[in-house]
Amino acid sequence: MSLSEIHGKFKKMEKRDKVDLKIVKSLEKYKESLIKVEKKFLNSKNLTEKFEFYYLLKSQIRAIDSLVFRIRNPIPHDNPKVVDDVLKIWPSLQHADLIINKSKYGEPSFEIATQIQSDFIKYNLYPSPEEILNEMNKKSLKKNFNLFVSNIGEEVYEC
Amino acid sequence: MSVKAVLDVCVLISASIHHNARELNVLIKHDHYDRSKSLINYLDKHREKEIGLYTESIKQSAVNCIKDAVSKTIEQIKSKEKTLDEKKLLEIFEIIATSCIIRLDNNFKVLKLERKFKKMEIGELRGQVLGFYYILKSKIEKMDPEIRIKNFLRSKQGKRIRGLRRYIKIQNIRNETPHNYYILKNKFSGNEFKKMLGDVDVLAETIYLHKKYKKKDIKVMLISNDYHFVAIGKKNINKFVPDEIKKRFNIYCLNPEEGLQIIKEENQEVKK
Repeated sequence: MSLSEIHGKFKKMEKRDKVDLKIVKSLEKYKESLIKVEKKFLNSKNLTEKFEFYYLLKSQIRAIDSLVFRIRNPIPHDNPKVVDDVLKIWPSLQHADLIINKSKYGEPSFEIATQIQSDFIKYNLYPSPEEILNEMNKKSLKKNFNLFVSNIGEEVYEC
Repeated sequence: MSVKAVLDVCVLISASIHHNARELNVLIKHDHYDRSKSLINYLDKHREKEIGLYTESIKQSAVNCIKDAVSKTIEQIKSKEKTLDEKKLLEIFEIIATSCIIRLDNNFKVLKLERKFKKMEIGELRGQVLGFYYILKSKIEKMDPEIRIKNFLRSKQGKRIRGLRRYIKIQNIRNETPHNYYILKNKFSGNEFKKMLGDVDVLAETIYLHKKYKKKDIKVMLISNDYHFVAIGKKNINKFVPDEIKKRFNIYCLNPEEGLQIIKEENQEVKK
């Protein structure tokens, strides 16, 4: 299932002014294709040099996941509001999809990923930082987060 | 007169690095998290007044800052660990970066984005700020007490005086030197100075916004944690840099605590 096909389905829903739950299946198929790309990517060499691509791919997967969750668990008056919201932020998904589909591992894509995140947060379509951090185990989180904070670096002189 | 505050990249970043998982007994936060987040929380409470400002270049720099920290940390781990699980490393840092980016995004939502800048004017201001920092650098170099003492001792006057008078003169030179001088000197030399020049845009844009809002009787200040903008220390405070910026560009550069204090005071003033 390609992203442009899914876009077409959202457009139809916009015209009918109603969410068609069949879209969940299409989104899940698209997610499966992203996971296939992820598997292929994770088997490639020098992974750490291609962090930006991985970051973009995971952002796209999280965005699709959150979208499926919202369609399945609508908030009051969400039908068809979710369709309008999705169509507003569609360009960022499409932009990311172009890079992911062509497996452009070396493409600078961190900013594109942050755009997806920013757009999806705006419309309550992205998980919270707490939910995301809970995916990690405590020991690994503490050690690596502290190292990361030390590299953000700032001077602190309380003299 | 009311106030507006441009929030520097470092303030936004430090207010975005926090994780408190009580059930796991994990608390991780940036050293400046509390002071920066207090300011952002206050701005959030008064969001309709649009006191806090940011620009596209600030947003871009903040995102780059997180991206660079991830790359740097991964490189660091790679160089230390012989057997490295690259997949795991990628998963970990994707999660850390995402959580920081989401918090950063939430912080930006509290602020008003200033989009309109006249390119020519910004270019000119950028040049002025750059020139200002080079002059500041040479002023700071000239302040070095050890160099000044050497120069004095080489001078005619220095060769003439001896004993107690000589000792007093040397002590006077040391006493005239601002507190925390060596922190300042370090900040304005070598790589630190080159890195600092990346922040020229922030000050140039603040000056531009100050001019714009002046017409509406609004004062624009810059809130930062960086010593090329704000005072160093708490007790023996060194205000050389912010004082020079104030003298040259009429911009107040304050740390988040000082900024919050002024914003609160101005808010009270407006209420009265």
